[in-house]
Amino acid sequence: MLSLVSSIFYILLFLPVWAFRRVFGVSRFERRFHARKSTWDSPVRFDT
Amino acid sequence: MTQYHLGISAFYHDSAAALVGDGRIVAAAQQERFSRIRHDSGFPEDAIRYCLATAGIRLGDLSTINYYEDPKLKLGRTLSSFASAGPAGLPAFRHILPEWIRWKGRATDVVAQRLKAMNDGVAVKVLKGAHHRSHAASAFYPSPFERAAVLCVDGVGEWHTTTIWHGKGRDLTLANAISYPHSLGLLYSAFTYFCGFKVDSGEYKLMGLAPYGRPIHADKIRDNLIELRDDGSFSLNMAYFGFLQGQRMVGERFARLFGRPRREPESELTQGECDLAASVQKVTTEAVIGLARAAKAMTGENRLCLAGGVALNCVANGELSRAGLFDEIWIQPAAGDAGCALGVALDQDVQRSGRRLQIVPGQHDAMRGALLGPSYDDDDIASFLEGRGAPYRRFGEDRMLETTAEHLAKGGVVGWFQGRMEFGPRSLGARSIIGDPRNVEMQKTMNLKIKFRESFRPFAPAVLAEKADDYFDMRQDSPYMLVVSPVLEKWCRETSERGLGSINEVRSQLPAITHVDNSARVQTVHEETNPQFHRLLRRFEDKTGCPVLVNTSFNVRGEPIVCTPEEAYTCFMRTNMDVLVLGNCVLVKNDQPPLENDVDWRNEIALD
Repeated sequence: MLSLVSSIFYILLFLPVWAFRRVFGVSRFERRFHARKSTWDSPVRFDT
Repeated sequence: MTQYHLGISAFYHDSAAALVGDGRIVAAAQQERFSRIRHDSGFPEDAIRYCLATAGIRLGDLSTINYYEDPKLKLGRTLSSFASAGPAGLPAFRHILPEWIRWKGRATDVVAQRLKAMNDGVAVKVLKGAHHRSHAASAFYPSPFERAAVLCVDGVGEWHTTTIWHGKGRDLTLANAISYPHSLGLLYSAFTYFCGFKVDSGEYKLMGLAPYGRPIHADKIRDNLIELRDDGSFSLNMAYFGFLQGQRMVGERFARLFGRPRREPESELTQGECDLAASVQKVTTEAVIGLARAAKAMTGENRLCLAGGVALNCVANGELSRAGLFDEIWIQPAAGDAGCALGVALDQDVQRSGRRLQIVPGQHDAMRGALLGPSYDDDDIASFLEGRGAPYRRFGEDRMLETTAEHLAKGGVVGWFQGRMEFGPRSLGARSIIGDPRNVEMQKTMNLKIKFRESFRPFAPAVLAEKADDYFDMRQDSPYMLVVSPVLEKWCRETSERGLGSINEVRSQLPAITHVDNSARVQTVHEETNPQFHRLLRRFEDKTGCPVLVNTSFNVRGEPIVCTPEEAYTCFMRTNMDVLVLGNCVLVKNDQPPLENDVDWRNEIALD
């Protein structure tokens, strides 16, 4: 039963979120994040 | 009254328990050593019982009980990950979400229930820690440094995969982090998987394979899989990885990139896997050095502490040491998740007591040599041997050392079982199989007839700390066997090649511990920390002129390191070791009766 509920939850909620993220590239999982100059969680300002 | 703090890591891999009190580490052990299930992820009840018994206390006597991470944050990350997995994530999600709902999301409650079921007094509420802070505490607080940069790199905790901390006295402050899915540990695990080894246990095999290869794919990795930036940060190109979908580490695109399919586990290794291993090792080392540079810039410190699973990559540690960025580097011997049990307990102890751990006079750090597990005295051992009808001789220590050194000098392989068991993945002379490193047959014999493992895998040396510089190019001390160093040229010989075909070539006057690139994963043995093993090395040196021994873990492939005299005896009898030394009791293989009622252990123990 939980497995079925999980599947429904996934289709109704997770897939739309996935689609949104893919289209707009808005999450850290998408290509736009990979193209950032830095991936530190907090901005850094130093010469290494 | 002593305030005792218990730390617990559980439910993912390498469950463990650790007890800290009165400014010292009282006990720590991985559950696998008791359950005999390699990398056991179950609730570490046996390890907890051991820790409590060592202090002579019950659960109700604990000031705090601490779980090493925050399950709710971890759930959040898992859900977010699946929200980027797409349709391919559904099959895994159908199984994973119910598990989280049933129990994983409230792991601290499950810990509380399991503690209650132990019927050992009424325990205090279980507190939750934070995964990377647990790693950081395990790295900084036992270190000898009053202040340091602390770098933790692993697969992933809750969200963080890489963290930099600033340790000053009692304070440990997060300086910066890189978060999932961008993970150096997962990159390395992806290649581990692709080369046909098991994730979370085969990474060190990939590391051992790397020197047989050439890093011909390093550019491809940098161009396609991971972006390394000048500020030390990095990110993964998720188009090539499959772990978001929860079933495989990599997808078809990864295989197309390298023009080959994933290697089937246990199939023959080829030069292709060696080159892949060499390539990812090179890029990982570059990434670690970049992160270390960032840690230095962010903290301004000249000393570095390391933890997290990637800190077990001794090759990267060796390169980092030689890079000269830091004056000193200290690495937590249980750098993986087992060490988080220790870290979360240490964090409580330091914060509540207001003081750092005591360092035993003469020792370099507060880890007590990582010798934190159970021990057995000679009476226990003799009682066991008598019960088994196993012929043995019980000596005083001096004669035991002499006898052992003689056997070693004659080329014998010795199972060495002494004192408290090690905490962490390495054997450090408490539960070790040892041999003469000058013997040209030793590596082959040990791999094939004793460890029953892949023949490419190198063995590591233990050396008297005061003589280490005579044999190895050591930039720093390495008491926990976590730094690879070159064997000095004067001991090395010219060899023709470095590929898999050169496995049996004699590369140095210490062939059993010289890897194909003339490197070695050295353990420096100090008299103050491990006096008996030090004395054995001295005795061997007296006989042979060589202060070095092969030191490999006391187990066969797939099995956890032995814990008890019985396990040591069984391992001894199942393999081709010549002599077993249990405390001051010495057993010779030829004198032993056949092992009775043994199971078909090679089928019973799953390969790792």
